[in-house]
Amino acid sequence: MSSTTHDAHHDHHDHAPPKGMTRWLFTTNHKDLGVLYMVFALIMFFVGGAMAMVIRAELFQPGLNLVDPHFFNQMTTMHALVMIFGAVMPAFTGLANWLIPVQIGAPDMALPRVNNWAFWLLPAGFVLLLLTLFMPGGGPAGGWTMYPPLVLQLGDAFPFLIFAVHVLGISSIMGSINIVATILNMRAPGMTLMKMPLFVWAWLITAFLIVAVMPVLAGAVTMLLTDQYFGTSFFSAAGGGDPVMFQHIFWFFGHPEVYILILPAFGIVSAIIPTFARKPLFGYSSMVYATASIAFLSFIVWGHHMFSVGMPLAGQLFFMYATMLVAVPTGVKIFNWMATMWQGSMTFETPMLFAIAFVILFTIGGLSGVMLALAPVDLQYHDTYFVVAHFHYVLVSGAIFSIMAGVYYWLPKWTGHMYDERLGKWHFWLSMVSVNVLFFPQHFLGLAGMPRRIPDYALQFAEFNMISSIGGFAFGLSQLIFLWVIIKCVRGGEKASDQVWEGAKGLEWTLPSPAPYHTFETPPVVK
Amino acid sequence: MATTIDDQAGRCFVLKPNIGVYWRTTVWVFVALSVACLGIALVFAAAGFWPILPFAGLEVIALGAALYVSARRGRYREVVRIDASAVTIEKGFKVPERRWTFERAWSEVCLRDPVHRWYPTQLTIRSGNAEIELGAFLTDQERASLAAELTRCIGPMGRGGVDGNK
Repeated sequence: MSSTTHDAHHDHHDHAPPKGMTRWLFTTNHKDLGVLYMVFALIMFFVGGAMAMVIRAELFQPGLNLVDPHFFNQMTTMHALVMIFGAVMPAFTGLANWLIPVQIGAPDMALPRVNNWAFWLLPAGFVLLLLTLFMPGGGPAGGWTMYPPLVLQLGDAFPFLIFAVHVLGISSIMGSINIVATILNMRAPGMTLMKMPLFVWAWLITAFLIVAVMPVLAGAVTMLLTDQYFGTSFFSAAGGGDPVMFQHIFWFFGHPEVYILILPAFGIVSAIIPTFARKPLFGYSSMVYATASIAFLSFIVWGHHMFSVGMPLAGQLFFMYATMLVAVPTGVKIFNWMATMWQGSMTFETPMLFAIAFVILFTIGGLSGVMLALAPVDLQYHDTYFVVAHFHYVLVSGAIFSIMAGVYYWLPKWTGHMYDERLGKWHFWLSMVSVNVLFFPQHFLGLAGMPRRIPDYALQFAEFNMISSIGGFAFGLSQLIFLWVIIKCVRGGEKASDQVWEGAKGLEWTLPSPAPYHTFETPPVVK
Repeated sequence: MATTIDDQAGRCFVLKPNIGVYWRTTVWVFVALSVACLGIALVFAAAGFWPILPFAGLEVIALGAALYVSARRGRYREVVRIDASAVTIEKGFKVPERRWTFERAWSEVCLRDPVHRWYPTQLTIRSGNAEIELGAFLTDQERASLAAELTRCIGPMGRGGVDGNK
């Protein structure tokens, strides 16, 4: 008996994609959808950034009154919603779409049509959300946390806000289910779980978190809706409900959401540092377990957002200690990245610069998080600019820097061209300096007692606010370089090799640059 | 992926999707996710916040369906057996669920171009009024290669014999 296999044997053939608008509307190709997600995220990054510019312009000096205070509140609320749900999450989902199939040796995502629907719900949801700014009474202005009873005073935009949150939630859930199904059922033979790249692991755990907590958000906003229009009293004290319970429910979603925004960043940085240190990642298994531990802990720390609301001493102690525990697996990660770099043959191309900046600045954000975890002193820090500084260190110089690192790292594989390294370095250094000028003084403002979400402030906060605003404008302008680098790279440039980076490891680097429209239609050999 | 097995009885083509099957892992992850998702929702429901429960239930159903559909796809097989006089096609998951048998001499292999370049080519074996599609999950190249191989041993009045043109 003899046996032969009829493989195509030319894995890298390229079926030309269809042309025109319909290609992008109806595409089920994971690379097309990855591009769509990332372009959408970039647009939203600039929309949310423009809102941040309004905020920083208003706070440039006390008493400016450039915009109406109510509009200022809309800007703070919408800036958060746009950046969280429109920029950071879609950027990570775009990276997941592009990279997970090629990193596990799959031809596409498990459910390509679901993938298309998941993406197109996103612009629909955001059109709905942004249109609320033009409705009578304006857009949401009570903060992205949507606390009742404040959010119920919103006016005509309220049901649109709730519907938009539902649409964005459905999109996230569809995307996450697809990622779970792809990772579990589409891996190439031999690609066991503990052989997967850390970006894939990070996304598997992130998708787990999204699936676990999104129904909580959906239920919470639905209860707001029924309280407003259908006479229920889930959160209405007048009807026997409890508005503080909304905060518990929201933060039960909200804290895992914070980790949803950072775990994929860990995966990206874990890919980049070994490449440019030219050493294998130190402690692969411990990185996986640390990511899983952080995810688990995210479910039991929500109370630290609410110390000032009032809770029993036992509750305060539990949430304080549980929150401080997060520092342990996070520390494992940081020390593993440092150990990977230790005595490596390091070079400092733009992705590596952003990755190193991530490690340093995320650690600063993490340490201010440990300060906020301490219940006795949180009463002083709560709702001040110290909190604003903390979460921006984690989300801007953490999540967004990691996304930028990832874009620079994989851009040659996507486009087939090397980006302009000189401009990339300009972008990095301007961003690195300006982001610290922007957010570091906010620690001092917070410690001095300046509350967050206010359009004006007392005179003693003037200097640090002016410095912060200058940093903000510089950071905003620096991102135009990022945009130009991407456009320039897409349009042409030095031809990228298949390997691109000397020290890069993984299945994606076995593909040509740019990667063909269809890849791994026959499974690769995983050793 | 298409695999050919030659033995004394004739030739056998086994077609399967290019997907690894990790059924046990999938089940474990589904159970873990469902327990987490429904557990959280049940705790909130017990505290009076029941609207979370239907969302969690819907999500678990969607997750289960997605995992089942994608995992089951990896177990799909199409088997084409060709002996001296007959062509037998079997399709199914794990076990043959549907079977067709044609006279080998009166069967024909067809590879059709797509109606639009977005769509894949279509490979069929037809005999009389019956026409059975094969390898819809294969790539165009794999389908073309398989069609050429099948044509060598199936065809009007047995073009090349059971063992093709060997």
